[in-house]
Amino acid sequence: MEDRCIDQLLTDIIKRNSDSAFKELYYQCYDRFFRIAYYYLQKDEWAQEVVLDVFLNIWNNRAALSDVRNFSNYSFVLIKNAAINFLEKEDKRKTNSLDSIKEPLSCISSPEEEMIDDELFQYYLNAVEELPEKCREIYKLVREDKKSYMQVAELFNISPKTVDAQVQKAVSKLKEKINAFFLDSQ
Amino acid sequence: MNQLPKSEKEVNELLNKLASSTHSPQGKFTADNSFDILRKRVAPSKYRLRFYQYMSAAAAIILVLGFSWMFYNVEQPISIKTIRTLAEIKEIKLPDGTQVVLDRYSSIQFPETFGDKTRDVKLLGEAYFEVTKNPAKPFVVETHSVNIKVLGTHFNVEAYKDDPNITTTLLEGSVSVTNKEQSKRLILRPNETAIYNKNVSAFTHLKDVDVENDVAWRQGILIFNSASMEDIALSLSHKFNVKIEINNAELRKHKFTARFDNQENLYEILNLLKSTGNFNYVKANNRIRIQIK
Repeated sequence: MEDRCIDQLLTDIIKRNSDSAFKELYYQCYDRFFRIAYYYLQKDEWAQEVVLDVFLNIWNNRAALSDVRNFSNYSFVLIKNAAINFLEKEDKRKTNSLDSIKEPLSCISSPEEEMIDDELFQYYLNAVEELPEKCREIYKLVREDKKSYMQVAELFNISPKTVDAQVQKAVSKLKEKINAFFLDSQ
Repeated sequence: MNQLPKSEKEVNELLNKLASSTHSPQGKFTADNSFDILRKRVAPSKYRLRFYQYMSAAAAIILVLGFSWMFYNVEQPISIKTIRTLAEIKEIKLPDGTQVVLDRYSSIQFPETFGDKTRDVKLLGEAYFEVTKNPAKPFVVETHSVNIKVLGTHFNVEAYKDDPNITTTLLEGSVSVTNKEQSKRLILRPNETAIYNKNVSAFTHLKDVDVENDVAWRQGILIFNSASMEDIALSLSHKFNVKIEINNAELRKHKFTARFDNQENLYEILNLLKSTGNFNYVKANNRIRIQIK
């Protein structure tokens, strides 16, 4: 199956109620959705729960998709809201570690500051997605999933040196993007 | 309103925080493993109906006898159930109490209630059966090339669509394996295996088989007993649903004996086999290419 683009999939889902398009959408988006949900929830089980819920909602309310201009932004908001609702329902807000992420970024937890954090995270998410495929996968495994260089080298059948080179390449691109983010918002 | 331009140190810290703020799903949280949960939540009857339509459309070109005949029965009044696995192993109980363990990337089809004369199921892929005894109503497993008729027994069937060989291994009881044309038949006793090759329309009858090897997949164990690279590649491509090519004829015949009982993933298995020093592999365009070193 070739990678149909998201817009085409959404059209198929809306116009033809296509199961197969929805399934493809699921496989294309699941990882990204999970990473967003995990950012807010910090627990795998909760992230999975919220992501599946969001997919279910997307399917059940697929008619609403025709109004959506930018699926990337739309889905981010869907997941964020679902995650926050989930936390509120579980009444775990006080104990979850979301605050510890915020700490270094802003000591004041005003709504404005919170939005900046989310914006930066979303920006980071997109920046990572824009990395070339191999570079991106290696970066995620090493820096996010905390796998060792040896493990990743084995997995891709390359040397640890190459792994390091790819990680550095990713890091330097991402740092560039982070700088651009702050310059843009001047 | 926003922060001033950041120092190198601050940017480094920020990136570290961002990288630590999330990760990709692993293990039971992956897309594959989660899809089943989602499927159950989507209105079941609605989804299943459209699943049939999707399958019949795609099947026509790729498969000869593969799926198309499976849906021949859709128009019948009795409701037909299809259970399909992705990257997981599923245990199913049939209407007559027969227990089935369905391997990954396989599917089984059976009616909600069995008919009067026989108990018919259709299989694509691999499954292990423990059939409840009922001499009055034989249990028949239909695959793309052979039918397996049983009276009450434990056996394993391997019938993938891209494989001309259909392998039936008997643990207990008695089965007869017949090709679709009804021109060839083999009766199996316990610890025997019948391999029917549809290209040459012939059976190979193996006796004194180590049956535990053939059903070890139920525990997630993969066993290769002096198996050729070609057979290993085929088995791995079934288990992990990925195309594997071997460019070298000599390499294809090369034999391996290995046992993987740690739920190793595809790459871990390939890497372990590779460490014997005979080959290398590359991943390109969603397929794996194995080449001589």
